[in-house]
Amino acid sequence: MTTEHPVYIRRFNRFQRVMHIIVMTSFLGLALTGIPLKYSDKTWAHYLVSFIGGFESAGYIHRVLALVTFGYFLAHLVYLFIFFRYKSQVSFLAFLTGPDSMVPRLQDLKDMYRNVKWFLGCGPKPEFDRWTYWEKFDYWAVFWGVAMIGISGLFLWFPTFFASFLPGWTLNIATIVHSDEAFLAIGFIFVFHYIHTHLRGEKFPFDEVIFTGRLSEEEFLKERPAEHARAIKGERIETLMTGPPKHWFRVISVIIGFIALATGITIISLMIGSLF
Amino acid sequence: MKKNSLLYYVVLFFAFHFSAIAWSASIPNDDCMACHGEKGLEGKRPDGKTISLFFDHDSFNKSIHANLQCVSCHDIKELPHEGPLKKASCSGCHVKSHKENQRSAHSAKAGANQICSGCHEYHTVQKASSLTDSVCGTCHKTPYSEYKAGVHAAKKGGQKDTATCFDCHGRGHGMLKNRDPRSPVHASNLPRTCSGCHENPEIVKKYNIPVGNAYSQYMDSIHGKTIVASGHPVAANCSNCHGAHGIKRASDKTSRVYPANIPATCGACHKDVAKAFETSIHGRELKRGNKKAPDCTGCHPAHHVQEVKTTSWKLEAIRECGNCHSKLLETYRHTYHGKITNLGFTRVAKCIDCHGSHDILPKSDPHSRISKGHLLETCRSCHPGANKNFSQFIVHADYKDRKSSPTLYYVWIFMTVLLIGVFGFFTVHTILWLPRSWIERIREWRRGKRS
Repeated sequence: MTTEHPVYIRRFNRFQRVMHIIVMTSFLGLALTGIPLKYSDKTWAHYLVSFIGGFESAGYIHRVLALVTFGYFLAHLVYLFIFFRYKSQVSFLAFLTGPDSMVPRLQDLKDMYRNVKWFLGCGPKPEFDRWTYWEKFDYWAVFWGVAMIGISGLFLWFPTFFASFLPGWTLNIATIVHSDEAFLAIGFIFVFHYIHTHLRGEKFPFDEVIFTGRLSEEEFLKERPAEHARAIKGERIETLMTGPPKHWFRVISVIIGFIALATGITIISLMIGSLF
Repeated sequence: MKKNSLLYYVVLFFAFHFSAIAWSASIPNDDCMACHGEKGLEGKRPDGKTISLFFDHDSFNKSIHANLQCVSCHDIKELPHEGPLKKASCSGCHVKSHKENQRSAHSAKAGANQICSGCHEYHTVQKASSLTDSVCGTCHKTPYSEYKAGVHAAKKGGQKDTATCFDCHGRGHGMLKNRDPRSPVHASNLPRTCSGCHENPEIVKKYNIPVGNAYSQYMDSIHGKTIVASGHPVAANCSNCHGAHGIKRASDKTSRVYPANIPATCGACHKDVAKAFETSIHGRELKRGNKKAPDCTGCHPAHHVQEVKTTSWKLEAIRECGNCHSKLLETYRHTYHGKITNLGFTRVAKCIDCHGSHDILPKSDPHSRISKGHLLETCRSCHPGANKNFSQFIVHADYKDRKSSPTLYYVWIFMTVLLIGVFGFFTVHTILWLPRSWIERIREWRRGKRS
């Protein structure tokens, strides 16, 4: 009977899904308009910057997208506050340390140890909860990255303002930090985030859950058994259940997802090609 | 055309011989020698001067005209004749040369009748191909003495390729003034004339001429383009820099293109620039004999001088500075300024925007744009709101050097450790993960197939 109407589990709400689209597009835009500077001696960087319309246009787009970034960063903090204040029924400490939190726990280290053992064929696959340790790393990488790149970026955007109360060499530090943090973010997202969520065997070529917000119950049970057990135990599983995503919505998700994947992989290929 | 000219020569040939025979029949040379063979024979010119009328028949016999009769040139119908005679005319036979000569610079100066002998002598006339530079030197004394001191006159080991007067000015009777646009040494033609040898790969190789493609470079330079565009000698051509006759090697201390002399050579036109350069650190070092100091050509490639307003030159100028100041170029490329210019845009600060160009001075000089007193002013030319702190920005920061900027060094170390740490960890993690995840995927696929 479930074959006709497979049961799906809701994983991301609408706010989170929209947020990911904004983060994704602004990040790709920032990478495309910023990376030519890092590789200014390469021919492809010259083509890229001319395609964008010169360094002035690239700089303009980069700054607009920086504002978008500050916007979503702020929106996320507001969301966390509202979620805790009005939706969550647990204490602040439980909110931070519970299984639904992004804050790392001891369990994450255990999971990682077991996972590596599983990689090597020395044990069973660990039973993950709502967030795996690599997902938490992805989250905090963005959190850290936005803060570091954002602050250093503001220094470079308004050098005379910051120099009015800070020594001029802080601009040198901002240059190094902005450049290296951006390199780290681009390298991490376009290689490891892509592999973690889309390109590894179980997910290849593309995991649409962040766009549709839902995954099949079968996949839910396999990927996140601990969360599943918690839902059953707390008798919450009914509230998570939903129908399959609409066909047109999946098609759009796949198109957007593949464009993003292709863009990221192109950028990283150019960067790796520049090593030789 | 060819047929016509052939016919012309055939007719001329016969006309010449028949007329020679006709004259020879009238008065043989021996009749003339009966009087002019006497060594003591003298006569008076119209101006009253007494001259010898003796004719040296032996040297005449060695000349190219040995077969001609006296009366072939001298207008004498019967003997004895009255004196003084009309001037002998060459044009009776050398029609074409005469016509060419009439249009030449020589003709305008000397008058048609006297000029042949100026180069060819009178009775001892030799084959034209045997004429040498020294013939020109009889009148053009200064250019000739300059030429003799120059590189083209040095014919070591019997070199035959080095340029003679004729190679540049043209061989023949239609010699033109250098101001005449048709002259091979006119400003608009000179580069092509020089390139006849200097673009010839064989000659370039044989004599180890350092700049092999000077012509094409020059024609592409602001000097060459200006001359081509205007048709007037308003910009420097080969001779303005190298000299016309006294051309010397760049290694020769008296050469106009010897490094220490180049500012004066360029300064002949670019006066203000030369003046500013003289007091700059580059100019002072060059004068002191520092071999590493640049002359004008150190930044503006000698034959390929570009218009300074163009984007390509502005970007090229940065690399020119970097040719010597390589470390400074490297650190400049780490800054936003350096990266934007590297991408091909010129709106941001380039070397000259902070350091100046011809009047460049070291930081220690109080007049320098980057001296303590002037640095902020220099920053403000682009960043009007800048204050004293702003000018503390380390433009040429080498963050890999712990001693010069320890803070930057440790920030860089931190970032490097972070990068290596994150990428290193996840590379190992991924390498272990991927095979396992694909094994799982394939197993599942097989299971699905079986059921």
